[in-house]
Amino acid sequence: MSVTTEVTSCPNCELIQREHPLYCTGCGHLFPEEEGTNHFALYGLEPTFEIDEDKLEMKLFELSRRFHPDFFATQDQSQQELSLRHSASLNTAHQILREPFERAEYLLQLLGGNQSSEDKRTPDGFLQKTMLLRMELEEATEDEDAAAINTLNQRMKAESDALLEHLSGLFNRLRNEVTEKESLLAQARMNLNAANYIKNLIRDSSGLKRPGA
Amino acid sequence: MAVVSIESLTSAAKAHKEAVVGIDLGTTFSLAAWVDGEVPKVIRDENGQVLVPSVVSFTDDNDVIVGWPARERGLLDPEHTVFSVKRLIGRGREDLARELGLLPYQVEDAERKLVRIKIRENRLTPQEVSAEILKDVKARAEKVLNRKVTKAVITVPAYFDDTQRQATRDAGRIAGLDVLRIINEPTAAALAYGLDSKKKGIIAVYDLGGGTFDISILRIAKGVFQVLSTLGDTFLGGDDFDRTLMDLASTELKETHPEELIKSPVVLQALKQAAEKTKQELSSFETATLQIQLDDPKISYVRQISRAEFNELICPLVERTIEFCKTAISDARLTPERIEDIVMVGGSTRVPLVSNKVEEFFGKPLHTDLNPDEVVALGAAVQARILSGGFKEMMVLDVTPLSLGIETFGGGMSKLIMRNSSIPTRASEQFTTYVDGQTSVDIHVLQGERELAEDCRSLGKWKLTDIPAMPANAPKITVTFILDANGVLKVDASEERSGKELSIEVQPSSGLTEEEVERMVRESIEHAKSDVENRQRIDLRNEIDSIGRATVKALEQTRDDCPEALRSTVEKALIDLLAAAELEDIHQIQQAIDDFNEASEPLAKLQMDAVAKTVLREEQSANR
Repeated sequence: MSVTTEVTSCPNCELIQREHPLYCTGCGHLFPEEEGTNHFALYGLEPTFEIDEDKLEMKLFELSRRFHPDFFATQDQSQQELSLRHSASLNTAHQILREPFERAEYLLQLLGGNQSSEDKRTPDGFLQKTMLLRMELEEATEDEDAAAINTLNQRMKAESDALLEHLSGLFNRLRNEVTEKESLLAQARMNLNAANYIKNLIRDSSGLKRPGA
Repeated sequence: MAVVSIESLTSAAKAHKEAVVGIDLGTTFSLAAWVDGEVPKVIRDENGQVLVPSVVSFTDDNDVIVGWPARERGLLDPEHTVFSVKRLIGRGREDLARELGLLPYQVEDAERKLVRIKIRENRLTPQEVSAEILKDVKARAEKVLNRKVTKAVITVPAYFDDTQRQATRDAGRIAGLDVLRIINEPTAAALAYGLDSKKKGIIAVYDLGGGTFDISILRIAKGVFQVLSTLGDTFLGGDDFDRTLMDLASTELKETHPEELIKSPVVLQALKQAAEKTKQELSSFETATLQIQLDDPKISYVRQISRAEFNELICPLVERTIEFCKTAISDARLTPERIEDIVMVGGSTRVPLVSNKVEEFFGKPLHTDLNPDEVVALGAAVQARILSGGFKEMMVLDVTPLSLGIETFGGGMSKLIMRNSSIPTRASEQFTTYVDGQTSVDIHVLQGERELAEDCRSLGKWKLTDIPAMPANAPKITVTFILDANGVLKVDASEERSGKELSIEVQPSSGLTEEEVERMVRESIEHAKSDVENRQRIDLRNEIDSIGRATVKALEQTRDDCPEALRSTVEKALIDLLAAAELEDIHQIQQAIDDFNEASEPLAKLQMDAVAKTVLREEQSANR
């Protein structure tokens, strides 16, 4: 069931204006969640991969002041309930938006891309390249060669950054071009799979450095 | 009449007013604070005492004694004197294996994984014992403030799980309190710190109490107190420091005394109190005496111990807290240099080795301006005021200390909400049925970081019922797990195809069922109505009595001047007032008094005039 987003008035103060889908900018009254309010819209952000992280943090504070249950403790049950729901939505969205990998995953779903379980492909040549990387890493770990591990970590970080940058380009094209959508989504999926692979490799290598951690 | 009753009226009106308090329910000590105007203050009794020892003693006549006198009784009657109950709350016996041998009182297994404390024929839950402490703190606050206290914010260690939080909230309810919020102790401390100094930036709160340790990393900006990460150990505190000394003494005592004797309740209690005293002395002096002198059984033990020796005993414990600090900082994606201030909380931070190690680790001086025993209660009072609509510029964004998940088919733990997620938060998971016509599904909810379900803390089994009968795999059941601002779990479930909300039966792994809590709340109200409320009721009834007599007298005095309408109004109001004296609810009684005073105000004026006239007449006749 979808609620039409046409302009309606606030049931509490009757202000005819909806600047935010979840609360009245006039009196602070909370509205029930509309289906389809996505994480970006909740934060007043465009659905893009590159986001202004300072703005995200600023919005988190601003919207928390609107939604946090602390400020609804003396209000009626239904407003308290909404405050709990909206705060939970706000925090869940924040956790996803602040993390590039999670943000990319979410954006890809939003644009209609496949999940990683549905399409496990990586870009051509990626697996061979990382296989070598993995072998070098194992060797360096076995030799307890801290300098070599460090260099490898920097290489992996650079690789990961490059993949995310490419991904960002793909997301931009998806925004601006209507043709080739399927192919762009598939490419984005492959890039993200590769980036996740590297991320796990980095995580594993830091795990190796700390025995018993 | 009017003149006489004004003073008693104002005091009654004050008693009618409420104070919302913050309560630090500690392992060793408890205390309350409230916000007076804009300033949080601890509640100090007429003897100047702020801290109430968290000790409950039960006499032969089943009288309940709390605080300092209970602590003293501990040496005489250790089996019926309960201390450190916070270490038991929300815990099952298997969590407490290490704990139980060291307690002089008896702890038994009960249904589910709940433990009970055996006091003669009674078997009390830790919730009920904690409620006795809370009742005492509440009664003291009511007496000192001369206000009613029914609403409170209660603090818990940040690393408490859902079961321990719920158990603490239940203790509050049993004590007759409406628990507005369960707030994490380090977060509360940060609130008091931030309010006091209007600070901003990134801080660490190092909280080492009697029984628990927490480290929280917070960012304070524009009045927002955002917890970035938290970590802790609910079995690490000053009690454990004491135990190193108890172990030392008992090992040495074993050379000359039989082992059963050393493990007897009387000796354990004496050892505990001696260890506490020695530990405290070593915070100020380089050496101290560890001494136990008992006549029955005959035990005499004296030994000098230096601070260096003591440091060696407790060093592994302190080192462990530093390891937690390291992880908490990395969880917050920070490095130690980024921490701008370190707030020290909890009585155990007075131990010199603790402050030395912490200072060494962070590489900067510690913030020690705040009283480590009081800061948590002060912060809880600030939170209580925020919840009552005050301190509008301040806001707390806290996190959940433990990941929340469900048991998967092979006994694994599938995490749905990660630790250090900001709360409130939620996660949804899809379920379906395995056989045709299946109408219920069981979900085992867990908290913890380990991979296997059996290594995590079980929060209980949630049974979803009333699933419409459908072929296997057809129902689409969405279960939503919500962690509220208290860090307490709520579960919703619905079936998508039928759009039906499903009923959920919860079987908590430990902790009390809703029915049990309600029964305890009732019993508590029936058996132990707070002294303050009883006293207020008596005061109000006496007041009605004196108003009644004064009114009859006033009607007499104004016999000639009082209009018939007023007379009948007042008489009717008086009948209502006298009937109100029979009521139990002090608010209703107070309301009746207020109503009567309003109705009889014209009569009071008439009476004053009449008295004035009489006085005038008498003066005139005297002058004549």
